[in-house]
Amino acid sequence: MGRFYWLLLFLASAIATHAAYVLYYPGYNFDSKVEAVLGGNSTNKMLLLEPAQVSRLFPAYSVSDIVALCRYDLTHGPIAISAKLPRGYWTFSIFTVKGRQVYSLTDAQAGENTFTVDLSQSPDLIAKIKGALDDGGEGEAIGEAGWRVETPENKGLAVIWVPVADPIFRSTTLQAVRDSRCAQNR
Amino acid sequence: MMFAILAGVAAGWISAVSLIENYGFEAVAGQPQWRERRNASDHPAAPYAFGYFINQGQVPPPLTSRHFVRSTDDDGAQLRSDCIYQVAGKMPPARRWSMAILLGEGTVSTLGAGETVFEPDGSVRVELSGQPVPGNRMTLPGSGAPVLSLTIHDPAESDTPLTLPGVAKVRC
Repeated sequence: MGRFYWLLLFLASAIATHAAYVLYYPGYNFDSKVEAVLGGNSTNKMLLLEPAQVSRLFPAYSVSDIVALCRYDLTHGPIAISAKLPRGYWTFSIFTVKGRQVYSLTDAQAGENTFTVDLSQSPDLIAKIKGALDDGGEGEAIGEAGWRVETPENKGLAVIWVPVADPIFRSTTLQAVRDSRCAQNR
Repeated sequence: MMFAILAGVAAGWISAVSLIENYGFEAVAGQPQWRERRNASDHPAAPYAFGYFINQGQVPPPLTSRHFVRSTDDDGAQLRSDCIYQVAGKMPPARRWSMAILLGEGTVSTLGAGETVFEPDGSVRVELSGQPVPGNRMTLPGSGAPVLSLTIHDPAESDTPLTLPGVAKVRC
């Protein structure tokens, strides 16, 4: 009986530590590392990244690519992200602070180069049970303003990636992406 | 009691670090030097794959892409900073691809399809070198064991094995 107790205690400690390290620690760690790269006061605004920042944050992109990033914080309510991108290949992705991608949009899926996405935090279990939001749920719905996305975390990153097909188009592409917006909904 | 708890914490931490580093990598069929990092949300390894990137302060590759890494040449030898290598072959059909040389938590150099000069047959030839060389080149770090990554964006084949370029040592 005594041995079983110690073994149970050992297993419970191991499982709790494992789950905490895999599921919770990376989120806190990641947010502070992103802030270190982007600087303070970088939430809820669209930032056009410098090549050194692209290199530090995105192992899948080339430093010559154009990357705009919004470090969102939904603590004070939903935000709206809008962009008018040049013709050609682009992607728009929303990640939670734990690295899970909750939304993906490409030029081919969008069918047009202008979009607006309303981003809000999905209601928690209690709110769902209470039926506070009758038509909530995860996923997306096309509203008057564009797409609506719900994320399970209140912090994360929204990323616009536009690979430059030819360096000659870089300045015009850069100008178009610079006009992208990320701001609190009013 | 304290010993059981401490031993459990140590075992949980070590297993988590180990799985984040290794779980979710799959060797590419026919090219085992290339390993694919599975990051699909519905894959059992997803939390570990996300952890692998975000523990390094990096954003995981988007789900519309396939991400591969390798740390050895075609002979199975570890990539070295003081050698010159040639990446050669055709890229899989996709809307875009990009390569990077990684070292620790940093990216040393990158190369995208838009800045690459292609061979007449559509293949690519890229030198990995610490010294300037003619043609497409990615810079190797001054020291350390570099890792080569290749990301295929919006591939024509999202599930089937892809044929990726080889990495041959030119000289050291």
